[in-house]
Amino acid sequence: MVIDKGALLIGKFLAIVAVVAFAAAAEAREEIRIAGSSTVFPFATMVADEFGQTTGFKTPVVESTGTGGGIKLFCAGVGAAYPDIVNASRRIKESERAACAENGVAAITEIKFGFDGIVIANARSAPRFDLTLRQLFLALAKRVPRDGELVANPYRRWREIDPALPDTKIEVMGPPPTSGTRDAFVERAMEGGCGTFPEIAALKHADKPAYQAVCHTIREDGAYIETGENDNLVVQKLGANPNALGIFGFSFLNENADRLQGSLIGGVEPSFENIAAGIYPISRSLYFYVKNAHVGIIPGIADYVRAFTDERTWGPSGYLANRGLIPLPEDERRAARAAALRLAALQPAAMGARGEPPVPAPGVRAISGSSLLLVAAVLVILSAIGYAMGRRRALAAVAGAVGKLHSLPGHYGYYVAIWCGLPGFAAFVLWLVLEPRIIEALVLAGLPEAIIDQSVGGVDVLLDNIKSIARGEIPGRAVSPALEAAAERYNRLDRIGFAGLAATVLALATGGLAYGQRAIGPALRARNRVEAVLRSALAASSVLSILITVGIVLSLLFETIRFFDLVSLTEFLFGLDWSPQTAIRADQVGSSGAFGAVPLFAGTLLITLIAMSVAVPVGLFSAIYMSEYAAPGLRAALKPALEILAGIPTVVFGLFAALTVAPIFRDAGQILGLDVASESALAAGVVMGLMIIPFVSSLSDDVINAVPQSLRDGSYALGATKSETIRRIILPAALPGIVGAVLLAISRAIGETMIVVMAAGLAANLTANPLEAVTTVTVQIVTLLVGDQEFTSAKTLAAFALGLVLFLMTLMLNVVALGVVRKYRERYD
Amino acid sequence: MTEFAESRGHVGTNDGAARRARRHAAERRFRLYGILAIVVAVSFLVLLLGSIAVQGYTAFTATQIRLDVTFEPEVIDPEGTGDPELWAGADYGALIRHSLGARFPGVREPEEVRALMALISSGARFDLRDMVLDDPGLIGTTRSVWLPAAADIDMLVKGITPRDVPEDARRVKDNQIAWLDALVAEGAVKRALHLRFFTAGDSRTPERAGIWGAIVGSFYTMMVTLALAFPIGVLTAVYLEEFAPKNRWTDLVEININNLAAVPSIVFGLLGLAVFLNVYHLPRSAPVVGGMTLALMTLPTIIIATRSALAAVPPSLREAALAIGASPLQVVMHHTLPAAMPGVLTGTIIGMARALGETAPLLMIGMVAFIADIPGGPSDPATVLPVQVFLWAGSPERAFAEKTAAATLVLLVFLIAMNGLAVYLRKKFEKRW
Repeated sequence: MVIDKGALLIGKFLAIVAVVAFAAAAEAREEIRIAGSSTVFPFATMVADEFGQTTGFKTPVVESTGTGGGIKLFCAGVGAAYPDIVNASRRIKESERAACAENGVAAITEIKFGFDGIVIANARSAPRFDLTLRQLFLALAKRVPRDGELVANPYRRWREIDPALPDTKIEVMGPPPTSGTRDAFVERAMEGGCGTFPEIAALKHADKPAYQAVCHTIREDGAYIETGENDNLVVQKLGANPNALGIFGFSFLNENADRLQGSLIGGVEPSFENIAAGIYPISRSLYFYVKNAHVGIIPGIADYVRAFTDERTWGPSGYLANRGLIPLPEDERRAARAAALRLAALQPAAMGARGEPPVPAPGVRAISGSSLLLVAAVLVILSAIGYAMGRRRALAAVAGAVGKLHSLPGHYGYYVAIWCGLPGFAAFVLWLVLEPRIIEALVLAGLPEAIIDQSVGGVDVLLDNIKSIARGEIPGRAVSPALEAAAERYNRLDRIGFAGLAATVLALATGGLAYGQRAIGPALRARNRVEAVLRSALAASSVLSILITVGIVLSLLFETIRFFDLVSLTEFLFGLDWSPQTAIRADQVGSSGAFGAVPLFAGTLLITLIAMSVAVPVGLFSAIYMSEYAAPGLRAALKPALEILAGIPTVVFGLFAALTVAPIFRDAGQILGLDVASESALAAGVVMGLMIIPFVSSLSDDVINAVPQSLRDGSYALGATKSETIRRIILPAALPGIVGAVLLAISRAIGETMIVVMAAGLAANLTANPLEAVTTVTVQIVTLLVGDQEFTSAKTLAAFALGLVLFLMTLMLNVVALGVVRKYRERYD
Repeated sequence: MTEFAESRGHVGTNDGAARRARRHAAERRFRLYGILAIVVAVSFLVLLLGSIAVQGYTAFTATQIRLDVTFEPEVIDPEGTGDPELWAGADYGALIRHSLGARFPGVREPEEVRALMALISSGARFDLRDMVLDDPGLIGTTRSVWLPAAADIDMLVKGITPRDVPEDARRVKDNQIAWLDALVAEGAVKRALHLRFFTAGDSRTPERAGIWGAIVGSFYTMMVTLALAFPIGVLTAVYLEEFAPKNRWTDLVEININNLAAVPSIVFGLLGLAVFLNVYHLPRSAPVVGGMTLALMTLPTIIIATRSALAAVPPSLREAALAIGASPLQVVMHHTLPAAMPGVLTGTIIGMARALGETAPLLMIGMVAFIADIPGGPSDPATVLPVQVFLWAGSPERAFAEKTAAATLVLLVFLIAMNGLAVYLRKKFEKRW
């Protein structure tokens, strides 16, 4: 009974959660929203923090999404749901501006706020490098000119490039091709070095794509080690490996000068002064973009921009410079400051100094969440009353002689409660789903044709605008009277709809209550009715998993189709070369076989195999020991202790794998005479295996523990030892559960990203050697999604294709696994 | 045993003894494997936790510097209005500058003054502001105040960044060290418990950054996840294991659920973005959306664990209940499910633990963000503990390294508390058949 009641309560709770969620959506926004580049993130957050502390505004929320993802969000539309500002580590592209304009985001203000030096550094314990761009190119390019011909880069050691350089292996850790830092490095350093070869420079005019392919392609044979966007990790890895060089932003060198030294480029030191003066050759500009339409609507945008462009912030002695931002030259600062002030002029004069949001006109008010909550609460209370009434009536019908009733009195209570609550709840859900669509249709129908035809970006943008006006996020007078009228209409319809909902729900609830109440009698098969409802609720909840799958497929499908417009399916599925770096330029897409996913799937398989060969034996033996040998007290302590492993953030495992385990393996390999890469599948796999131990150990322990004691007793009685009993009797009996646990562990291993990014790198090698660097499908998905490249480029879309293919592959694996389990499943008692 | 061996004529007594010895050796080996496995797992856990603790414990204290601060009325309220609104906007940095200037009268050059100011946290002015706003009576008085030191100084005092490298390789310069040493000599520098770490929201100034915002965010997120994933997961599992007809549809659902467990977590983020944000226009960066997204991710784990726990309940139990007239639903709710509860809880704990430590899906729905304000409810912008760990781990400032480890420790405390609850519940339900 307790559980029946619990189930009912949970149902109500879900309704309330849904209502709170929906209600929250309707509220206007008070804080500035910023999205974009992870390189700009440290600077933008610093300004946001200071801004929140020193002004009356709320602290802006700054997301780190990567430039491409940030611009996509920013350009999605006008209104509270979209960011006000986007941070970018590169300039916005024309195609992105066009996409922006299509969604009604036409006017944006560009503000360039400083430079980021890109340094090449190594540990202080090693000799300092003095490189020329030409040497850098020779060390890092995929193909280099030799005797008038382009050959695959033959250089393995620095000395081979120039006898003056140290005799160490070329090992450079740097950002992946999805990173703006990488793009800038390629453009400034690689191309700079490339241009010093007359035969390549001649190509520039003759055959530009070929020229770019030579100059912009970085080698993929292990000398250049792609790391994630975590520069701190590179800093720490350099400390552990004095032979390696690292490429990252100046601010990280600035913070770690006691451990690292920046290499001289052409004799120039990467110092604050040299980068600012433009003498140091490798640097890039940082930007942010402001959505003009939001100025004056979301409070504080103009003030934020003014604070950002203040001398105390971005000047040579401002607080950003202290953290490694290279300021713009004075005249550029002045120009940008002027742009910032022009932005402030966009702010309607009516706004106060503190920037109160415009108050919607009287009568224009959206339905608030609390009124929805009230309806839900009334429904819950009515159901509870129904339960009490039904119970009492059933008891009264037989004058307290419970034995005469068909079902228990509680069942009659539930019967009435269900009659009371369920129809109302259904109406409620239906309303939540349908109401917005109906109102939108009505509002659109009421609009003059001309407005719909003229609107930029189509009906969706128009509706978004109307809703924003209705919520008071955009003053209607700033748009057009017709839209303002539409917004008013929208709110009126919303109110009418809500009144309709309240009336319907109340009528249904009281009607249901009366009907249920009337039906009660000793002969009513209340239990059967109630159970039928509950059983359909059970079945309904299992449908949710199908819905999730459908949702996942749908959310991946469209982008995947777009991807396969750009890259052929066979190339993707069977190509042996994964190298998204060449695909950034349209003229090369598909020509170099750069999107072959085989190495990624092979890498996933390799790392998963390593992980499972750690997790399965350790986990299974732990489970056996805990459930069969250990004293109960010990087991009670061990099991939850191991479960902690499942919850430690994977960043922590990743750091551990990269900074502790990988160097141990490398050193051990050197002793044994093996060449272990500093990023190896082995380190990532082993640590991942340790992380998923609890999946195997705890779940297996439960099923082993649930094997009936009689089986053990029978086996002992026949003279079997404990281990024989376990191997011959208990494990076969527990097999389905153990297989389930192992499958779950495999799933977890396939889905893991952080450990692999940090410890195994991003280089897609097609190899079965666990001592080399590999990468996995999920790592690539994450890296591609948060990259700085344009969101609609093949590079980003590849993430969706990878996700979908992975989904289909694991689906096949699961079909096989189910067959296997069916075959070996045994039921004992 | 001896008789048994002898009775099988061709096997001699000696053979029997040898075989017994072999079997017992196998038994001992088997047991040893078990112990080894436990030792490997536990020692890894201890190593990991130990390394985090060693890195992180320093974040629980912070360096403070004592200054005699005069709350000059001409700085706080230059026009003498007496209006607290205006006091909030005053230049409290000037108070610190004057105080330091009085202590080190030789420092005049602007460059030097800036270096001297850099000893004290750039956020100390807000502390002074809050003091004045709390107690306007301070204006005009001189007080001895312990102010937080800047993070660079803090790192130096804690010995995390070295003093013995060339000056250009240090963020703290020679003159700053000299001033600091002078202050230390007069007892004006101390390391005190850093309560702010537990009570403040995020900040980009390391010495002002705290974990409370992330704790609150994690709490809301986990509540939503649990409220959705646990009931739906258990109900689905009960249906599939106990009621569903065994046909192709159920096979499909089963395979589908196993498959969902293998979907990379960021894909759930994409789904959350597409459904909750783009279709239903729920707020970005809100714990309620994060919780719903993580619930989708956690569901398969709970369903799979619950199913295998239900399958492991002996059929005799069900038959007995059916025999005395319980309906199928009553059998499940009153007998099978309670008997399977330990396994259900294990699955829930593992799933929730994973959800608690997850960052990737939250990226897509805007929770990987700098959010300084403490969330007031499940629909306010918020971040969660693992995201805080992730963001701090990526910050250039050295002082965030210890904060990263300390935040992980806090996350572990959460995790252990959650596990503790599960252990208690598991104990309550556990039986051996």
